[in-house]
Amino acid sequence: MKKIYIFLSLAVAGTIILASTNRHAGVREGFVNGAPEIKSISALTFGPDGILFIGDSKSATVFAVDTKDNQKVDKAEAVEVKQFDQKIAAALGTEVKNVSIQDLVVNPVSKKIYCAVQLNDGTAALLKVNGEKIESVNLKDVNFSQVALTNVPGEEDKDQRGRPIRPLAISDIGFYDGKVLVSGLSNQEFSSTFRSIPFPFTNKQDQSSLEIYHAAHKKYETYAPIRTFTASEINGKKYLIASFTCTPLVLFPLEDLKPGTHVKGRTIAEMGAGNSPLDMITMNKNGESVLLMSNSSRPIFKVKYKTIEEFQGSLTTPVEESFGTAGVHFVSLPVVNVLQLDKLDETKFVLLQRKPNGDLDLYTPGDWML
Amino acid sequence: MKNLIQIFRISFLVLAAFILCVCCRKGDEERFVTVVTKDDKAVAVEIVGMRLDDNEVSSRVKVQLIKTGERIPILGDFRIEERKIIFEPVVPFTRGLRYEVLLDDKLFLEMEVPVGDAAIPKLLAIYPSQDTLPENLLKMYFEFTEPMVESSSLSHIILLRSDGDTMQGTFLDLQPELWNSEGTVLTLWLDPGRIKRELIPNKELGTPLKANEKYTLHVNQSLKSKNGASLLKNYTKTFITTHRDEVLPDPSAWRINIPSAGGKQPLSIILPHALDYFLLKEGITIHEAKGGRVSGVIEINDEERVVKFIPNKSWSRGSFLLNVESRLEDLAGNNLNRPFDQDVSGKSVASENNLRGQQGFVKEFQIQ
Repeated sequence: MKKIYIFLSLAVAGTIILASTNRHAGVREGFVNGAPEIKSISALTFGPDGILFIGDSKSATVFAVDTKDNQKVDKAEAVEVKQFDQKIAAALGTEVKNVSIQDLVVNPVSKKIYCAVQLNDGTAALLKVNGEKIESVNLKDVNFSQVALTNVPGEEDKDQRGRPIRPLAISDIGFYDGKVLVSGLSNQEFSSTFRSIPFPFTNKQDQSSLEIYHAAHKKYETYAPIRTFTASEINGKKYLIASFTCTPLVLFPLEDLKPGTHVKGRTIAEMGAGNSPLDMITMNKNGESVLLMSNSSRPIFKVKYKTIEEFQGSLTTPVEESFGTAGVHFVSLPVVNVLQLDKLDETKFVLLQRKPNGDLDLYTPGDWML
Repeated sequence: MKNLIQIFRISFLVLAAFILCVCCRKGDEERFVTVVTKDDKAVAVEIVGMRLDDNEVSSRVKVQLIKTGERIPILGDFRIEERKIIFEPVVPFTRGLRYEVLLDDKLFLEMEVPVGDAAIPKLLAIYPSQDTLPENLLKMYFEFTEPMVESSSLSHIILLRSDGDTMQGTFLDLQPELWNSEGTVLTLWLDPGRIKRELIPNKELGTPLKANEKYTLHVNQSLKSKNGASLLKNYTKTFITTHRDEVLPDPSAWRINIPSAGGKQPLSIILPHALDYFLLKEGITIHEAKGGRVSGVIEINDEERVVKFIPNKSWSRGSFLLNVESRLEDLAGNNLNRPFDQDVSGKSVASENNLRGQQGFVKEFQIQ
């Protein structure tokens, strides 16, 4: 009897291990061990199970790296690291003036904060925040896969013939509905592109590539570069929510983003000229979803998804008043100069703010902020 | 205590790596640190005079920046090779800064990573090269001799009106900035939202440049190379603006001077108007009519109004194709298929089809 129990236990354990392995093999299909040739880190986002996507503008590539940081933490601790940039510079053995923070994201599984930095000498580094300590993330010996961001559909052939892939300035990267979403700009022709790449990456690289324009009024379209975006379900339909220089907020149905197509977005808000949006996240306040957006020259904006759902129109006339706003109602939160923003859990988020005394602090604002 | 300077080569550690300097302090036993460089970056230090085992080195040794305020250990990896402790920081040491090596939290020795003699960067060219530019000019390229720091370029590049006033918000502040792979060419866009008529930024702030004005572009010496060297000098470019350019580039209007077979004479293309320098370099190719691409070099002359294709091998008789990619743009961002500032009312379907038209221009020519 005891033997049967042991056998049964082993069988159950084996099934669990096998199931777990298969699950891991699923999202890690095509992963290899080694050192990814990352030349720059422009943007970060987390996918499933501790997989970090790294947008590399220099090599026009997205890397998927298994951080193995997949211990689930349900409730995030509040974060506070004062003089964050000073601490990063000291941990890297240099001065603040040599360091620029490229992106900051939270692993939704472990709630750990990851930060991409670029040094003046061009070196890129990936760091992790552990309490008040800064740690480096090993990228020399990892399990990873990658996909090249070709410049236009059909250009893959040329690249295989040895033509160098041109750099693509990646402005933002996201993961939604099993796809890696990438917005980028060419450094030559005027083209802003948005890609939707199925993950795990396939050899076929059957990525969508398209150009986006939005109409700010009835007549003229623009190829404005997307600065930041997020994706969410609105009235049961999946949308890309993107913002551009001078802060129009534009919706694009994700189902319309197909290879080679050009999708006209629906502008739902004009949030003020003379400003660039920097980061966008979706939070939850008393069961209600809210969109938070940080800005270069404005405070954080808060938009209720309910008001987005209710706004069926499209802004087609210019805002008459200089630096005025129009469209869906939004609220300005009393916090300015927020350079980075990401959610820790449904109700807590972390922000990187330049304080009036010049300090760059990383912290979790109180619940009142939402 | 006595400082020692040693310079010697180590080829076993990293190919093409050199020990650049040693700053050391001598105690009872000779102890010194050498800085290992690779591609002109200080990528590691070798510490001599510490007797430690592999398993204790990372817990007992620290390398940190000498600075006022809190000092924290630099992130990196330790290993032991031939009785030397090698520390590789996550990012290279910064030239000109001083560091300390601690053993059990006590000073073992101090070192300085020397500034080095990094090449002084120069500004090779600003494109467009012309000094008369359309008022709806879309972008400018800055080509340097060295890879440059790729952030905060806009704090070093300013545009002045003829009355000396600094123009604000003329260039689009993008992060990441638009640099080529080598970090030697910067692309700056004049704010497209302000160029496009009737867009909100255009209505509120006006176009970045006005017709019939004189402007001076200043590239400040403070712009630095990745190796930390400032530009050789301040650079300026003065230009005047003319009317708006809304005409698409039309390759069928280009004049082509066809060379004879048997030599390597260039195929010359004379353009009626200047076009984008880098898109001309990359967007024009020559193919055999029934074969592959002809290898050769593209030269751009006469302020982006003449393109010369010089073949690597002598021309042979036969039919060839001049291929122009649709993404080729003029100075105002109009490409072969669509104007930059397009009125899409009433013709949206046709224009949408052409928005990213893959159809470039192809012209067949004979070499006799």
